[in-house]
Amino acid sequence: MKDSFFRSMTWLHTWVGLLMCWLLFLIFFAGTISFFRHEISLWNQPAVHSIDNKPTDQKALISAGLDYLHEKAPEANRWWIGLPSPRQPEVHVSHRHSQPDGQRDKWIDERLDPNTLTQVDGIVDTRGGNFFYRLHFDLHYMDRKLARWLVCLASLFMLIALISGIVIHKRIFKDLFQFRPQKGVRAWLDAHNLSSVLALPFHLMITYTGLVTLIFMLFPGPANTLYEEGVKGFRSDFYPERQGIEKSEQTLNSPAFENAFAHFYHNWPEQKIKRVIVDYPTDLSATIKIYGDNGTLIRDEYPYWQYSGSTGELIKTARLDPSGGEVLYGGMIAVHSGRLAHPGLRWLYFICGIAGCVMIATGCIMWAKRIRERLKPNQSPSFGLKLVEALNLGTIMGLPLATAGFFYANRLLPAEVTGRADKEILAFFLIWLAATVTAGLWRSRRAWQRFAHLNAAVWLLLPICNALTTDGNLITYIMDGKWILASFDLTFLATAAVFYMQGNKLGAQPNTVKQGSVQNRRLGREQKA
Amino acid sequence: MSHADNALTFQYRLSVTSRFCAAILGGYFFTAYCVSLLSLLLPTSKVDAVLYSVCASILIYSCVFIAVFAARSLFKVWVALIISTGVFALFTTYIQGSI
Repeated sequence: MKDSFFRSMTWLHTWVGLLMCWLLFLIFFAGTISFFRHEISLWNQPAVHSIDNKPTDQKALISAGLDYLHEKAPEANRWWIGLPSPRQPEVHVSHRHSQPDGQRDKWIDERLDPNTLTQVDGIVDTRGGNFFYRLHFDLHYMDRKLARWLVCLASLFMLIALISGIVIHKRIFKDLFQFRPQKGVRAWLDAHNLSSVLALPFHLMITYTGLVTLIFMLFPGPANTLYEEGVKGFRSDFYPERQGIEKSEQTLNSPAFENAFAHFYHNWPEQKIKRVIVDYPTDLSATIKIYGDNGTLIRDEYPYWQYSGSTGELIKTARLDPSGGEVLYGGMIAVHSGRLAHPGLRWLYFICGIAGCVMIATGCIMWAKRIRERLKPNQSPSFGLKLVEALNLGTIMGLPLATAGFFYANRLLPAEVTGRADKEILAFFLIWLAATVTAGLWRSRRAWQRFAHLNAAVWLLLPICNALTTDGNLITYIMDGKWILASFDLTFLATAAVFYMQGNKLGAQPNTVKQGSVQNRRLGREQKA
Repeated sequence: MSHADNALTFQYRLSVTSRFCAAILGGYFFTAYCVSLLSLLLPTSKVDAVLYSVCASILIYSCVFIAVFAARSLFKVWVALIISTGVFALFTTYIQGSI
């Protein structure tokens, strides 16, 4: 088909890149935001903003959590205590209840203030950062399995585009220092190269490890070969804590929870705890599951201890000493999710993720620009070109707008609305849809400029909306040292500034490339129309 | 690219479709059987054998994908993919049968 390796790779890079670029942009965009998943959940929940986030005594919190749940939900089939972290100030105390007629069990989530050990009032129904986290690989309004296959295919195309992109990049080092603004398509190419090459190790790492997170759906072969029950058999071997526990239907008269924790604290005094789960807390089969905190270790799965609730004996442990395979696999997933990252590294993840979005966006734009430039003066753009241009504008400018809409919806929807969390998400998708439809009708340079300015205005007003609807604002956040919340306002303002500058750039007279000035004049006319 | 654009013959379209099929589907089955065999051959515990093989799968898949597009003869690509996948499958069944 092509006469050289180089040319075939150029071709592959162009087409593999284009076919999946909008889905990839969505995946990268949602994934980048998900690095701040817990921070967004915090921002979306103004009731917990006032909680002082200081290191707390885990032992006291666990016993307070158990007491609270014992009083509040003795008949639950599971208790779940999530301990505070630097990223999450409150204690999560959730309980799960069996439902009649084989319906799915119902979770009730409550939160405690770790300083006063009382319930936090005014919790609103919101998905918070989990919306973006799920959007990243489950998409939305869509069958989960199909969505994950699509995400897998897109990621594979991304990996292929990256590899072929490196191959066609003969001057990888020189391009790092080359940026030629005001040069039409050349400038877009430079921006594409810059955002790709600078963060190339990140792009390769995140795409490869991203595929590894879904690997058992993609390649169940090895598990099917070695285990009779296939992936299920492998999982029960790999995750011993996921084995179900038989309920005895006999009441637990003398719980031995304290003995269990005393044993744990005595033998692993340095171990920080991530969460505690109790299965069938008031049944004779009560089981205490303790998950250790990995902190900044490059590990995905938590070390695990399982105690009997009736005798207080240690029943089993898992992953206290991981094997080579676990280190490799868990390490890959850990570097992908970035849970291990302290704030500095987290920002680096975020910035690299943005570079990935820029890489994809500039790639899509460049494709459309090149085809446009190649049009003959009397040739009208094909349906394909129009579609690409509309999707480019609708996705690249529409997604940030929809994200701002999600944040506004969180602040402006009344707390008592039914299905509030779903309505926030609906706002996100409606705005994205509106942006894409608008882009379908109106995709000139002027439209890009208007969208950029609209984005700038919307993001600029977000800190003001936050100040009017909550007790805090940027100044109080800085004075109280609430840096997570202050970073939100500052990031909103920075986003607004970037869009404003972009809008102004687009508003300036388009640079005409010297050759083919006829088509460019025609282009200019079309854009003015 | 531009020359090809001007002459989107039926044959050209067919060969592109075929190459994408070879890369996506052919590459997938090649990798799936390859890592299944690999997991049988690795001298580690069962859990580790599975984890090492699945982690290598993406590397194998992407190499095959690139090779399919780099190769000149599409016919040879298909033949190579089908024969090697068949050999992997045969070996896997043979080893499983003998265990």
